Amino acid sequence: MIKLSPGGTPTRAAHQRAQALQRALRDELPRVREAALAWRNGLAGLLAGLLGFGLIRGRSDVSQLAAPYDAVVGLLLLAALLAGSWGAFRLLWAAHGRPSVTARAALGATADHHEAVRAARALRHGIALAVLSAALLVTAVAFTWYGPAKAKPSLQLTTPAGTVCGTIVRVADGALTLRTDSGETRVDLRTATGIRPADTCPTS
Amino acid sequence: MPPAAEDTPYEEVTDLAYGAHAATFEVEQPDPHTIVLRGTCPRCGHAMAYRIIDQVVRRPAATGGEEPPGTEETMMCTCGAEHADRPQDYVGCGAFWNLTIS
Repeated sequence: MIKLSPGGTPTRAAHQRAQALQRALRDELPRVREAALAWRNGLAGLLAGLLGFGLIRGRSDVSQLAAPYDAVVGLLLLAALLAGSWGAFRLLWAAHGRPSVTARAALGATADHHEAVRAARALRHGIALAVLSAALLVTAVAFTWYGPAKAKPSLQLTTPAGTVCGTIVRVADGALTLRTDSGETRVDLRTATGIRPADTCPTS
Repeated sequence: MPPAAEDTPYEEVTDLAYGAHAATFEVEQPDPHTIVLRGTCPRCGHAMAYRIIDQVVRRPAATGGEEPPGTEETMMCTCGAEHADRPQDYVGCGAFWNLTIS
């Protein structure tokens, strides 16, 4: 049970603080909305800048990456998409509110204050998620650019002289030239007794 | 309770009787962090509501957290009526007082 009783004599400074506090309470929801709009625009600019950064070409095809880096990049991109989407949703929520119908019982002297607190929380989440999304995106691009490339498909030829394995360089005049560990090797296809594809060549 | 005075000019003034009048305000507690006091301003007589809240967005320094029991709060008139000579962004007629909340 709250009890009220007369207090002592207040100072003018206390009155000015009370005015400032009441003004802050009165303006807090528009101020949070305004801040959320500014953050939304700033973070959208940051993400647009990152996309522009992606135009500086490194490797752009995830399928060229060696396993498991291709799967890692896929997961990073998925996480970036989810974080970015949820972050954008939270920022829009903070800036514009929720399209909901409010029960009459929920309306009162503090309804705006509670909405301001919720909007501030949504703004903090939105900022964190947008930054996380940007970080995941940059990590995914870094993996794509600097991750090891998938090994090129190789051929393994069996000849009476032995087995030759390497990637195809050229085929000309009935002969196949392979790039092997010891350099380019030319094999006369008429002498080949077997030929089969290989993901990787056996190390000699 | 004084009658509502439309022509009361803004003036920052306090009186111990204002606190005694405010002690008769209706108390509403919509949530554990908020108290709303409702009544009429002891100076201008206009209806007013005064929110005491322990958190304000982007104003953490102005509150200081949970109100301890028996705290003295400086209140002021927050009526929505026009009062001549009122500074911009201010509310009320300028009356202020202290109230002990326990």
